[in-house]
Amino acid sequence: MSAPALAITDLVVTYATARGRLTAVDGLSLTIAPGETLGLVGESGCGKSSLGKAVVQLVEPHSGALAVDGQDLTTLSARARRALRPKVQMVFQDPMGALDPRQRALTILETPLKLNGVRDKAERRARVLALMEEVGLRPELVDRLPHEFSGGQRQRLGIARALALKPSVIVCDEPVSALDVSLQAQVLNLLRRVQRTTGVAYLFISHDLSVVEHIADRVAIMYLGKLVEIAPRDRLWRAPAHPYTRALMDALPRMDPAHSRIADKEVIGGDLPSPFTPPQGCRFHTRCPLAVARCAAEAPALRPIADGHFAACHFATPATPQPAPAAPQRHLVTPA
Amino acid sequence: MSPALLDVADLTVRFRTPSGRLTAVDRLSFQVAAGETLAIVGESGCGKSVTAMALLRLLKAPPAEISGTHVRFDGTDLLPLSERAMRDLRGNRIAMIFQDPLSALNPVQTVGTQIIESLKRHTALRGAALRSRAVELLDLVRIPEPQRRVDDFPHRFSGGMRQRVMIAIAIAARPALLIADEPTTALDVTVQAQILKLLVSLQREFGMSLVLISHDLGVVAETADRVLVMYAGRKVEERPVADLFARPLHPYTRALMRARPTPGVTRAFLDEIPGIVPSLADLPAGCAFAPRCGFAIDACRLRPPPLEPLAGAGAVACIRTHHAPVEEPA
Repeated sequence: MSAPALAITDLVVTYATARGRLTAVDGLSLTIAPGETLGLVGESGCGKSSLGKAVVQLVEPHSGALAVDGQDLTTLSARARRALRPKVQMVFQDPMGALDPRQRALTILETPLKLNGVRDKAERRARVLALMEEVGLRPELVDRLPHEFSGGQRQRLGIARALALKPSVIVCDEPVSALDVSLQAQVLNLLRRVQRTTGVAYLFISHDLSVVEHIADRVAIMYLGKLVEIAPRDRLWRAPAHPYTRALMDALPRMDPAHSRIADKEVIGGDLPSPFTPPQGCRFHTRCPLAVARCAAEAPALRPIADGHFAACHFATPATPQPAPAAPQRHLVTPA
Repeated sequence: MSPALLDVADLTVRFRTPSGRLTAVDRLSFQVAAGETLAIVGESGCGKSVTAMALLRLLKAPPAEISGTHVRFDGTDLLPLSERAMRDLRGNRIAMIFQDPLSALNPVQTVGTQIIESLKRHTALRGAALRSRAVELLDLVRIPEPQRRVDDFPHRFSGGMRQRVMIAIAIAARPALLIADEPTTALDVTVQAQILKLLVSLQREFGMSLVLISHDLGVVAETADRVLVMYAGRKVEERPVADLFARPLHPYTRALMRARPTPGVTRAFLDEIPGIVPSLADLPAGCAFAPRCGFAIDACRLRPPPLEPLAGAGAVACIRTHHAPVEEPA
């Protein structure tokens, strides 16, 4: 079996802030296989973006191990780490903020090639044009500046840049959150096509469970720096074991007014507690409908519920999977 | 249907720009009954927010030019109303909340002061009654410990709590109509559900009408009684919520629904809507959606399709609806 594209072990990310030390990621472990998409879902302040930044080495983890293609970055020399950097790339939420406004598409895309030893100018240009074709950008756009691209095209440019050095893993941090629905579909489809042709693995970070449920092979749910549940996509959807996962699913707006109206829904109360002072015991107990005294005292460990399905809840039991959801409405079916 | 509280006829909003006059909202007509929720849905630039701002005359004119047959609210036409009369109406009989509560709140005043300001302006309450009413309002929008929180500054509140404060200010004068422009777009999903539930329960309690502006078809399906879909400044479809989601008629509405990931439905690829929304400076002569539409024929490109009333309720602006109602484009 080949090494995982990404293996994270007991990762801790902390920040020194004016209000004291903040533990954004608190001892988190997960792996992503080559060519796999792991969706990471959570609300503001859960630490999902900090995890993504640690993976691409934009922040230095406090402790823990981070291995790419089986090589542990945390034990390597700075030089060896630099050599591995091309293997992990990132696509950002706001492509405008992530692209230099004074650089043309050609420069944006050839810089990573230049920095990694592609000396020949003609070869670089050819590689840039191939990248642009791969992400659906017409070659005549090569001399345009970022502001001359539409929002969807800019995100395509961001994806092309991430692909330039043939990475093993791309961290996608809310890549479609700023886009309209019709552009969202274009970018999500592009990410899926690119994965099929290149075999790249994705760590797909999003607050939107419906987007993650569409794109991911497995889904991980984070709450205040901790992983609360991780499972294969279908399994998570049909048999969620953690009360927080269920709360997220219940809160998700559905396009089904005959069965899902906000007035009739049970909605979880409360706000996210401050990550500076997370609750003792289970971090979710202050909002949890199932919480008992034990939950406030004892933090539940992430434990197996079923094959590949783990949850961190004292009451998580191997749930009976719900029957597959009812057949979708006719207009939503894509013809075979 | 009871007589409409809000009756908008041929509302048109143009902007004067260096590159000419752009029509952001084109002869839009709709009604909102007392106690009803109308959702206006569409993508960026479709004119949904401009419509909301134009109703309350919050657009700077010039460059904006607002015209129409009438915008009747509770029997009074707002279009010819003086700025002074509009000011008396805003925050009183018609209130509005926005996407970003932090920029709508004054950072250097306590939330209590800001609620009291609204109460002073729009109600007869004075003295100690103002503060106790402000506390009541915070309680009404389910802010815990309102007695204590009333003296806090906005930065002490989370995003969801700030939106609750905005709602408290908006309903201070018991408006007949609340316009909510993307009120939950900046919020986390569990907090979004709380705020939508709060809006709907307040609406029922006070018999208030709600115009909800949103880009999110899910949010619309969860809350609206009727839905108006906009594209490039025009109404393309307007239907009761159950009808729209059971059988969307306009190709744009259908495309929007299919482009969205549907929880529980596995598809390798989403149905893309090819191309991009046309620029307002360069709208096609016929149906604005025709260049992206799988059903379009030559006639679609000649002139904008008329809005046809449907048997039952609602209307749709598409000449192809009856020819290809549910089949996919080849």
